[in-house]
Parts: sequence; C-alpha cells; structure tokens
Amino acid sequence: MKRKLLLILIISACLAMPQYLKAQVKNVLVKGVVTDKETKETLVGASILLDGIPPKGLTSSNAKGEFSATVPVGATLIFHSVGYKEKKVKITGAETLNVEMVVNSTSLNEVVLRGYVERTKEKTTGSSYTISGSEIQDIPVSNAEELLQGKVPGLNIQVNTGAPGFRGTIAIRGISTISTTGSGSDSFLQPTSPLYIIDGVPIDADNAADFGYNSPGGVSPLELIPTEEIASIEFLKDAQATSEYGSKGAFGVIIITTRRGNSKKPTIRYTANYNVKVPPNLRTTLGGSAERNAKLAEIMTNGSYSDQLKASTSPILSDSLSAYYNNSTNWQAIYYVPTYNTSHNLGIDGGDPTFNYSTNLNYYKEDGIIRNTGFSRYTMSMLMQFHPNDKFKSQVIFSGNLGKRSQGNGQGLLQTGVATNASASSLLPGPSLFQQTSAFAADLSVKNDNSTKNFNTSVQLSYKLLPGLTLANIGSYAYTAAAEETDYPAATNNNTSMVYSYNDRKAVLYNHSDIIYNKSFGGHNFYLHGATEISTNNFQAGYIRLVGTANDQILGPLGYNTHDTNGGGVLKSFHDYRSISYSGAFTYDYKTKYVLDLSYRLDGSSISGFDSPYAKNRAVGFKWNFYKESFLKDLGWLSSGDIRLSYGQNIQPTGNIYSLYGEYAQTGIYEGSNRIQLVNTNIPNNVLKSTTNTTYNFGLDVNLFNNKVSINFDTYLKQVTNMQSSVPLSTMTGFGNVLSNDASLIDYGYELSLTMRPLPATSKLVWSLTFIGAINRDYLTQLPGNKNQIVVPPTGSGVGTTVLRVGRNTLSNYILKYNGVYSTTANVPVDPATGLPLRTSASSTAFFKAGDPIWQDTNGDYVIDDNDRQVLGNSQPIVTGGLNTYLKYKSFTLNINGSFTYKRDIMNDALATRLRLVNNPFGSSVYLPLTDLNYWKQPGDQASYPNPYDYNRTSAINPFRSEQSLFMASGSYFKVNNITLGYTFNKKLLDKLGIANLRLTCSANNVITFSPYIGPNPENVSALGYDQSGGYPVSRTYNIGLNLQF
Amino acid sequence: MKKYLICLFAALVCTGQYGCKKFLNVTPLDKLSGITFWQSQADVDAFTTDIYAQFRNVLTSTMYMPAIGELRSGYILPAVNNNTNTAGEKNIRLVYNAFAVNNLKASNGGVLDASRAWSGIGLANITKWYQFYTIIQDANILYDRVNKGVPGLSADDKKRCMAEAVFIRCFTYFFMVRIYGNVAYYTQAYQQAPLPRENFVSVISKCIADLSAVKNDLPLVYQDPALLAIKATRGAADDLLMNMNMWNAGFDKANQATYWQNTADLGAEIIASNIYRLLPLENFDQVMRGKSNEGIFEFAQNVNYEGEANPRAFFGDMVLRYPYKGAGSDNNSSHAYFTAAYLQRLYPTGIADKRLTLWFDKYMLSQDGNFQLLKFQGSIISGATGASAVPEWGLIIFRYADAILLRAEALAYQGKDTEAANMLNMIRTRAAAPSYSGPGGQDLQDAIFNERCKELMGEGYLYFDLLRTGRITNATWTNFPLTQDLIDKGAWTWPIDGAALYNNPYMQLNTYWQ
Repeated sequence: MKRKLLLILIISACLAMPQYLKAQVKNVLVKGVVTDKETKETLVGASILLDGIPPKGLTSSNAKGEFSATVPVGATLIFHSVGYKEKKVKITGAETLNVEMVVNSTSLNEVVLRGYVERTKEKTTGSSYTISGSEIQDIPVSNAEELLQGKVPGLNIQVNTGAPGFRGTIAIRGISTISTTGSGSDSFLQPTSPLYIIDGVPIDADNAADFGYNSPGGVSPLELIPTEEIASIEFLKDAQATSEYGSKGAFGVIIITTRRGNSKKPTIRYTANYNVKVPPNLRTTLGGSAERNAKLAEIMTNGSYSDQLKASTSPILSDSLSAYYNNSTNWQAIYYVPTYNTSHNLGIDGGDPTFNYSTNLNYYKEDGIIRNTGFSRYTMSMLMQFHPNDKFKSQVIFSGNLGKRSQGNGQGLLQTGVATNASASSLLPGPSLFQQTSAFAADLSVKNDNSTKNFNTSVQLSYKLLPGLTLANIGSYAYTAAAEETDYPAATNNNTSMVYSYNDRKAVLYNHSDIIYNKSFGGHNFYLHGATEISTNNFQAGYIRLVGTANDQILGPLGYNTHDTNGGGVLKSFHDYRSISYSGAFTYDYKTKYVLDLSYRLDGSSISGFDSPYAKNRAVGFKWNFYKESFLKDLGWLSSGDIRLSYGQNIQPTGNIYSLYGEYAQTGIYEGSNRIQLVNTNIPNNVLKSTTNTTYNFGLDVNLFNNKVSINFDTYLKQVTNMQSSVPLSTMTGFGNVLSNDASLIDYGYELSLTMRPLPATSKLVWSLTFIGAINRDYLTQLPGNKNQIVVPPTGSGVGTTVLRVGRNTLSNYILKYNGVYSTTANVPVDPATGLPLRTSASSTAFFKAGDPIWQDTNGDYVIDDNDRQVLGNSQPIVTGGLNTYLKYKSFTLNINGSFTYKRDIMNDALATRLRLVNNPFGSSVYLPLTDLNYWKQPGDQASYPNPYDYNRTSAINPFRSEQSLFMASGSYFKVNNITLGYTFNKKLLDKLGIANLRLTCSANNVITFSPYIGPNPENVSALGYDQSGGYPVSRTYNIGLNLQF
Repeated sequence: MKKYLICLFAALVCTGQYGCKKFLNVTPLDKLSGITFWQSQADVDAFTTDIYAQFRNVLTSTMYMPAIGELRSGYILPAVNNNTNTAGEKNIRLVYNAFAVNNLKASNGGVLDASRAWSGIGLANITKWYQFYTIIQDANILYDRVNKGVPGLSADDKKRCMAEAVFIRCFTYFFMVRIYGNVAYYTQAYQQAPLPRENFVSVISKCIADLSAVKNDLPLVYQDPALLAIKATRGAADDLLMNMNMWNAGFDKANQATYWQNTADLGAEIIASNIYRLLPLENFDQVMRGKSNEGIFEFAQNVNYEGEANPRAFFGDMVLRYPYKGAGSDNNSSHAYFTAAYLQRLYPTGIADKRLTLWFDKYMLSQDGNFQLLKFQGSIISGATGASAVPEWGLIIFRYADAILLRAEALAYQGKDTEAANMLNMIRTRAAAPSYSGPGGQDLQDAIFNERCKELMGEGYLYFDLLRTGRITNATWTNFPLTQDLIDKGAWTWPIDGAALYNNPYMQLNTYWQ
C-alpha cells in the first residue's frame, strides 16, 4: 500500500514538474517525522515543498507527523506549518530526516489583509493587533466577542448582559457618539460597533433591530460564527489601518479569518463541550416569619397609630396561620436555575496549496439561567480554495446558519419583568396548578421563538495578469430572514390569548474589485492599488398581532381576524440602501526600512443626498523599521523594532435624505384636493455636514531578547467632529427640531500590550504572560448652538439624568449631590427669610428632619428639587485591559485570562431598589436584609445611609431616589474571565486507537470578579453606567471539553 | 500594455460616474422626501392646498375668530340659561365675562385660567404661535422651491404660485400682528436661527411692499369654480392690502395719508374688477356658507371633505338656538347675547333696515339665552346631532362689504366725503336703509364705523376696528375701554406661550400679561 502511494506520488511529482525532470540526476527517498521543537509533539499536516521559484508542493505530514518524499539530491525541502517558522533543509542523500519546527512567536512575518490584499505586517503602517483563534477556544459562548475581552489593547468590551444570544457593548478607542435613547436605568448609548469583515465580506454586527436592545428581531450575525471555526482575528484601530474600508470603518474594523485546510490527508476535528451554567449569587432575602416580623417592626416603630391598626387588618401581616400567607417561598429560585448545555463542532479539512477545503458543522445550545430563555445555533459552512497555477486563485465560501433565541416574556436584553416578579413577598404561596399569578404565568409560559436564518456565499478570484499586476474580485451575497413568534396564553394576557408574529428579511449584495500593481528595483518597492466597491442592502420587517385566538393551543391562522387583529404591517425600519466607493492606495518602501502609505477613498451612498453623495476619506502612514538600520543591527538584544506614525480622516455621511431635504407626508383632503405636508418635526438641514473622525497615531513595536519580550505601544488622538444630534428649535421657526451636527468630542489615550516568554526555549515549562492595558479619556469640546450644557431629554416623562457639558467627559450624570445624613433635626438648614426648614418644593409642608439625606442645595433656595442637580461622574471607563497567562508542562496546559476596568462611575440602582423595597410594609414585595448597611437609626447617629425604614419619608422627600450621588459608585473591577486546564493524551496510546490527537479541557468562565462595588456586578451595567442587575445576570460556566482529531 | 490597462481602468472608473449616480438614486417606497416631491404642478398644488388647510385647522381648533376679533369689545355677554341636557355648558360660557373685561390671564378666572370650566375648549391654543410659523415656513419653502423651478410649471404658473406663497405669508403675518403685536419676521425658507420680535408696523409695511409687488401675478378668478374665494386671487390680495394699510394707518400716524390713498385705490380696483357682488340680504345664508359671489377670501369648511368642524370656531354657534341649531333639548338657549344698549345704539328706533328685521327677532334686546343673531342661520348639517347640529358655515375672512366699507373709511379720512358716502350707501342700499345724508368729517367717519359694526357683526372685525381707529380708548364705542397707557403696554395683545422663550435668547413675551 505504501509503495503504491509512493509510486503515485512520484508519478504525480514527475508530471507536475517537467522542468525538473530535465535536470534530474538522481532521486532519493527522504522519510521522517515533523515535530514541534518545544513540545516534541508531532505536527500533522505540515506541508513539504520543494524549493524553487515558485516552490512546488510535494506532500504533507500524516496524522502521526510522518512524511516521505522522493527528491533529487541537492534539492532543498521547505517545511511549512501554520504558526511555525518555515524551515529549509538541504538534501544530500537518502536519509531519515526528523524535522523540529519552532513556533513563530514574532508577528512581523504574519500575513495580514489590507483592503483585501495580503501584505506582511512589517510593511503596514497603521495600528492593528492580531490574536489567533487558538486563544479563544475551549470556552463555549454564544458570541465570540465575549472572549475578546481583555485581550486587545484599546478594545473595550463589557459583558453587560448574560442573556443568551445577546451582545454586550463593544467600542474601539473610546466613545464616538453622544446619541442616547431612554433615560435612567433604561438608557442606552447608540451602539458604535466596529465593522466586521468575515473572510473578506463586511458584516453589519448591529442587527437593524438591535438598537435600543428592547426591540424585537433576530440574532446578530456575529452569534452565528462558531468560535471553533475562527483561525485568527485582527483589529484595525487607527484611521490609516481602516482607510481601505472607508466610512464603514469609522469605529474600527475587526477582521475574522476562518480555518483553511492544509493537509493532504483530510483532518477531522471534533469538539464537544459539556457545561453547566450557574446563576450568580442571588440576593439574600428575608423569608417567612423573618419578613413578616421585619414589616411589623417597621410599622410599629415608624407607623402612625392608624397604620398600626391597619396592620392588624392586613392578613398578609397579621394572619400568620392562614395557609395562604404561611409560606417562605424562594421566588428567585423559581426564576433563576442552573442549566446544563452542550455544544458540538465537527470540522473536516484537507487539501494542499493547489486545492484545499474546509467544512464545519456546529451545534450549540444554551439554556438561560432565567427560565424560559435560551439560545441555540446550528451552522454549516464550506470553504474551498483553488490555486491551480501562479496566476489564478479562487476561494468559494458557502454557509448556512440558524440561530434560535427564546427571550420568554422579556422584550430582549432586559428581563425586568422577571426581576419584578422575583421580588414578590416570600409569604405568598409559590406557583402551583391552582395558584399562579398572571405575572408568573407570563414569565414562564409565554412561548417565544426567535429565529434567524442566514445564507451566505462569497467568491473571491484573483488573476495575475502580468508580473506585478494583479486583478482581484470578491463578491458576496448574504440573505438573512428572522422571525419572532410569541404566544401569550390567555392566563397571561387578561384572559385573552395573543399571538405576535414578527418577520424580517435582509439581503446584502456586495462586490469589491481591485487592481494591484507592484514594482521593485534596487530596494525600492512601489505598490499601487485601486479598488471599487458596490453594495446594496435591503431590509424589510413586518408583524402581525392577533388577539383572542380560540384557545391557547390554536395559534393561527395569522392574518385572519379571528377576534381582533390588533396592529401589524410593515415597520418603519424598512430600507433600501446602496453604496458605491472608489479607493486608491499607494505604498512605497525602501528595503522595508522606510514605509510610506497614502490612501484615498470616496464613499457614495444613497442616503446622503445628491448634492454631495461622496464622502472623502484620506490617510497617511509612515513606518520606520529601525532595527534594520546598520547601526542597530549588531544589538543582540533587539530582535526587531519599528516606529509608526499615521494620520487619517474618516468621513461618515450623517443623516439621510429626509434630514437633508425634508419628509413629505399625505395629510388628508382639503376641499376635495390632496394635501401633502412637509412634516414639521424636523427642519430640513441641507447644510448637514458629515461626521468626521480624525485620528493621529504614534506607535512603537519592539521585540527584545530573541522575541522573549514583545512590546506594542500606541498613543492616539481621535477627534470626532460634526457629530449628529437633534437640537430643539425656537417656536418661531415652526419646526420642532433640527438635526444638527455641531457637536464634537475628542478621545485620547495610550495602549500597551506586553508579552513575555521568560523561560528559555529548552525549558520543559512553557510560559507566556501578556499584559494588555489602555487608557482612554474623552472630552466634549462642542455642542450645537455653542451651548454649554444639554440635559439629554428622556424618552417619555421625567427628567433627564444624563448631561452633556462642554469641557468635561462626554457623558456625565445629572444628579443630586449627597453629603450624608442629618444626624439630628437641628442640623437641617432653615431659610432665614421664611423661618422654614429645608423642603422638596416651595409649597410642601414636609420638611427635612433627622435621618433624611443631606442633599446639596446648589441654588441656595432652601428647596431641594431638580434645579439642585449637579453634573457628576463619568459613565465611561478610563482604564481597561487584561492579563493573560499561558502555561504548558508536558501534556498539561493552563490558560488564565483576566480583564479589568478601572475608574468608572456607575449608578448602583440595585442598592437603590433594595433600600426602596422596604418603604411599603403593607405591600407584597420581598424584604432584603439591610444589616450590612450603616443607616441612620436614632438622633445623633453618624450614618452613611438615610433611614430606610421610616417609610413615610418616601412620599415626603423620597430619600432613596435613584438620581443622587449616594448611588454613584466606583465601577472598577478585576475579573478572572476564564481558566482553562487542558490535557493532551499520549501519542502512543492514541496511535493504537487510530486517533491523531485527543485533548481534554476543563474550564470555568466568568470565574470571579473583584470590585469595591457593593452591587451585584459592576459589569452588568448599561453603556451609560446604570446598574442593570434587574436585567439578565451574567452566569458562571463550568465546562468539560473534548477535542478529538483523526 | 500595462499603461493601456491602467488607462482602461481609469476610463471605466470615470465613465462609471453617471451610472453610479443613477445607482445611488433610490426612490424610497415608504415616504416622500424633498427630492422626490417637487416634481410637478400637482405636487405644488397639493403642498399649497395643505397650507390653506393648516390655517383652517388653526382657526377651527378653538373659538378662534370670536375670541380674537369680537369678544373683547365688551358687548357680548354670556346667557346664563341652561341648555336642558348640557348644564356644564353654562359654566363654559362664563368665559365671555372674562373677555368682556379684557382678562386674558392664566389665573384669577382669566380666559386662560386652566382651573376654570372653559379651559377644555382650547383657548390656550391662541397663545401658541408655533402653528402660524409652520405656515410661514411652508409658504417660504413653497416660494423657494417654485423659484428654483419645478418641472412642468409654466412661467405664468410659476409667478402665480410664488405670488400665492407671498399672499399666504403676508396674510399669516397680518393675523399674527393683530393677535400678538410684535412678531419675529422672516421670509427666508428653512429659517432656523432664532430671531427677536420686530415692531409690528414695520412687519406690516414689509408685507405691504412684498404683496404689492406680486399681487398682479395672481388671477382675478380661477377657472375651477370649486376654488371660488378659497384661494389667493388678486381681489383677496387687494382686500388684504387694504386691511393692512388701514391697520398701519392707525398706528403709523406719520404715513397715514399714504395708507389711506393706497386703501382707496385698492378698493377702487376691487370694485372696478366687477367680480364681486353684494348678494340680497334674503340670501345671506349663502354668504355665510361660503363660496358666494360676495366672498373675497375664505377658508373652506365642507362637511363632505373636512368633516364636521368644531362648532365653537364659528360665531354663529354662540348666538343661535333651536330651531336654528339641532335638537331643542340640547340647544334651547343661545350661549351669548349682545348688550341691548349696543344694539340700540346701532339700530336707533324708527330707521328702516332689513338687517334689523332679518337678523333679529323679538328677543333682540332680551339679554338672555333667547337672543339670536339670525345672520348666521342656515341649513343644518344633514345627519349631524348634538352640539354639531349647526348650520354649515364657511370661515369667511374677507367679503365684498368689508372692502367697500374700508374704502369708504379711507376716503372719509382723506376728506373725500361724497365718494365716501357713496361707498357707505352701497351697503345701506342693500340693507334697504336710508342713504347717508349727514355732514362729512367726524360724523361720516362715525357713520361708517357704525355701519361696519352692523354689517360685519360677529365676523371678527369689531375689536380690530376699535383698536386701529383708536376708538378702544373711548367708552362711547366699547364697553371696556383701554387707556392709551395700557395700549402702549400691550394690553390689547394676547399672551404668548412661554415656550417661545426656549432656544431663543432674543425672545420676549408680552410683558403686560406676565
């Protein structure tokens, strides 16, 4: 058999290389094993090539790392394996050749994609950072984004929801917008997600319906990529690096490359994960008689005589013998449960440089720790590369994915209903067949099926027309259909069942063409690149809501008016966008010592109007690979080093044709004629400028001591000008608002990545340690109309709690300043004009007294109201980063990742809620113990918190209102994200079983968080810093994984 | 070869430009933008129609015309009789008492007092000038867009449409000035910068200049009879100009003579155009329903198109009862009456006048809910019930009689007594009243003023006539005279809603009402 194979190999080698046949003198057989120099593990699928111009593929190592090839004497063999340094061996005769390969620890020779063109990293001038796919394996998560936390300098990821199938927040280099929706704890910052390029195809990660999070709709495309399939991820941060992506890359670009096949013999990789998700520590509550006693004690101490009488007629308080009230129900345990989940991934790949393929099947299932929620994913993808000769190259990708999400009764990311219902009094009986509240039924029996199906195809072609001149094209089509069906049983919806059915579809057609020319002479390298890009993007969503089906089981037909079709139709999110871009780039380098990049791009879009449809982006970058200078060449400790400088401007068209030219709408009939009106909500503003991001970047990359220490340092200044914001107009203009773009902010910061491999290469213990840190500060420099301050108006009623003030950090809280507790009533200030003590309104007769909060009376009118609020705090983190370590000893690996956020002000709504829960002893809410808090108990106390038990104060002064600095707390934390322990089984044992590789992993995710924050989780906060523990808590996961390779 | 290829590529890129522009031109299916709109005459018409309709909506949003033009004279008082089924209505009527003593305050039982029974009828709308400015912006945008060119619009149509925009703008400013006094004035489309208020005489002067320049671009009549009197015509512009001239004549005394001359000339032009007629008084219901040959400018109110309007918008609603209004049980009492003394002054005993006999009945001087002003009688809207069962009225703004009497007034001020008396007699003849035979000068002027009171009673002129002629200070002519000092302080204006101060550092409210 072996001989036969050999024969075939020889014949095919001979056929493939006729020119070598001529020169052939004598052929010898070379056999051997390819191993990793450090770990001595055999390397499967290493390519073996015969040196030449170009090199010719001969064979590759088999599952045991063995290879054999017949080659002419005197030829040179090249051994190539992804992640290892290329090794060349000259053949002098027939021999057994054991090749040891060294891990490629320097990133300089990495091939990176720049605008769809491959270049070595050494020649790039922009700021970018790459991590390999292996760094994010072994932890099953629904969204790979979560695993990037703390791994990339300047990438701030906050996993602020544990809801399965939802994303946290992500931002590269600080804040880029001032647009917010909602108010208080329900406020959201407009997501400014980076552009994702997955295998060359741009993906919009912010699902159209994701904005505001509480909207219906499908799953973000990012959740449909299995982590097992990811080969590498690159982050482009400055305007030079993103220049080739134009306006779309304004918030940074993340390039994800999936696995390619590189072994002649098909490799089958199977990964299985079994995990348990555990709810975080739930809050301690008072149960049964403890709750009753606490409530009664509160009434007896603080209540009026009539309240004390009322207590005796309130059965929940007084009738402790009634079976109905004689309970100690743990409501939280009903809603929050541990879940057991599995995921399976099967990858098959193979081929050689001429033709290779890779296919992947993935199943992932996650039941949420809140009952009746979950996420599951089914994906299948196929990638083929065909490279028949030097000139022609092609790559075809198909993938079909299905993501299913169940969000129960919640509207999405927040499950606030559950939080409210989970805080029911423990005295009430738990749910049962005979006794269940509609709220409980709604949370647990509403059926929600929220699925997204997408189908993606892409074809990449490139052709070398002439030496140095290449034409390339990538075209892709992605179709996504999402549907959400929610069935509300009658018991949950005022005794009328309801069916809600939402569906949307999205189609993106994309094509990108390049022409690339490069020329080198005498150390001068020129590179010229022109490209056009064209895309169309259609989206339409609609819904039907049917109220009153025949019973809970009959859920259709939808659309027929069974009883009361209550709304429906095509939603306003309907759109049809088109864009077209032209770009040009020029690069010059001299012996790769000095590199200069110039690029220019025009972006046209169907929404930016006709007067100036093209936004112009430009960037300049310069790099000095100083280690190549002769005077530094002899420094043994300097492995490599370079300095980067870049400047770039990224222009994004803002607004749309309606904000530019006005929206006209039919308004009825007047005297038999049609009326069409210019909608006067927003005045057309045809001088609307495009949002401009200007970035200056300075970077330094140094590798020291034979790559044992790698340092990447970047400092940047990012100016965001002409930010869009809606500004109210004077009534004498007849219009409500104008979409203005006179707002500006700046971000500046420092980023550092430090990797150390302190142990010598000969050591049996392999250890690497990476520190990632970034400091980002932002300042608001301008507001529309040269205003000094704008209080962001809330959606709905109430007062805004977020404020924009020029000269400060961009997003601040607008709250009352809390200065402690009035120890005695004598301490309350008295208005000398009226002789009346401090109060909350000029007409109130409820005055402050001992045990009440000391709020700063900013305007000195002896009335504490909204006018006394101050601009305080910064809701955006200043320092973010992480610490990652990797240890390997013999067959064991240990991986620990941590991330941190330092200097952030968050609003502890959880504490506010906890203190407010005790203000209604007659109600049916649970009581939480407050013994850990130093609250005011009696006159003379120097307390940290006002008296929570004097429930009459709530209506008088509302001492525990959320919008005060009492609840503003430090949101700094250090989190151990995950710990993974891996064991690789012995080769010899596996050989007998016909298994190439078997690895077991044991991991824990979201292990522990260290923080001075006394709320539940300093990370579980909205982008504006409001605690969302009433939302979906982040679970802890323990996982056992199996990696099997044939 | 390489060069050739690069050239080819460059050529492709360049020629691609046009195709790309086309590619980027996506016509949204769900709504209209300013790009896809202004494409035809029909678009311009639909937009213009909407502006008129907006004005109509303002005037029908509450008791608009009666409140601004009539009630503050002090001659109109509430009838305290109950309507059988709607006793609450009686408390709403009490607002006429507040009007009669010029108490527009938001407190102390004033017109705008939100704690009173009448707060529900929306009088606070009158303080919100936002709606007028929306109309002004629209008019300016119409002018701007038509001026830039709309496909398929002939040169004449273009001029006409632009003149119509100017008419609407001037008309709106005239309305606003009479309500708020000084207003922020602009003619630029898409105005978004805040502006201070400008002296109202200056505003009106600018409007006069603007409209005079383009009024001849307007047609005398439209071919389509459906547009009779509800769209800007040269006659409507002339009458508006006469009103604006006479308004300024009252406040800009230095240039009185010019204003009078202008008014007289414009009046002559209207009469000479021979388009308008004074209808027989027996057919007066046609005039009040609208679209009659006597109407010069009106807003259409047709139950078929606009639906049933808020009856309070019409003066007739206050001064009619069963059987001229709906079911007797709901409407057995008029809401208000004119004081007997006032009516006796206008109609001295023994002088024949058809208006006296046709417009009043035996309860003319009853000073209670039996009183009726029958000039507003008409056929009740078919099928309407309850409070909506009122005659079908149009919103009559200008009619021929107003133009004739304004010309008479201007001529009388100029001392052209004979001509003035001729004008006055045109009206008297129609009413079968004896011709004026008295002396000229003040007597003639007073006679003309009285004639306006009689002829235009309830049509929203009285208070403005009192103001511009200065008679507001004289107890002979009003039940609640204002002193010159109060007038200077702005007691004659309406309060302006405080929202006007937002986002406008230059803005001031009417201090009298603060």
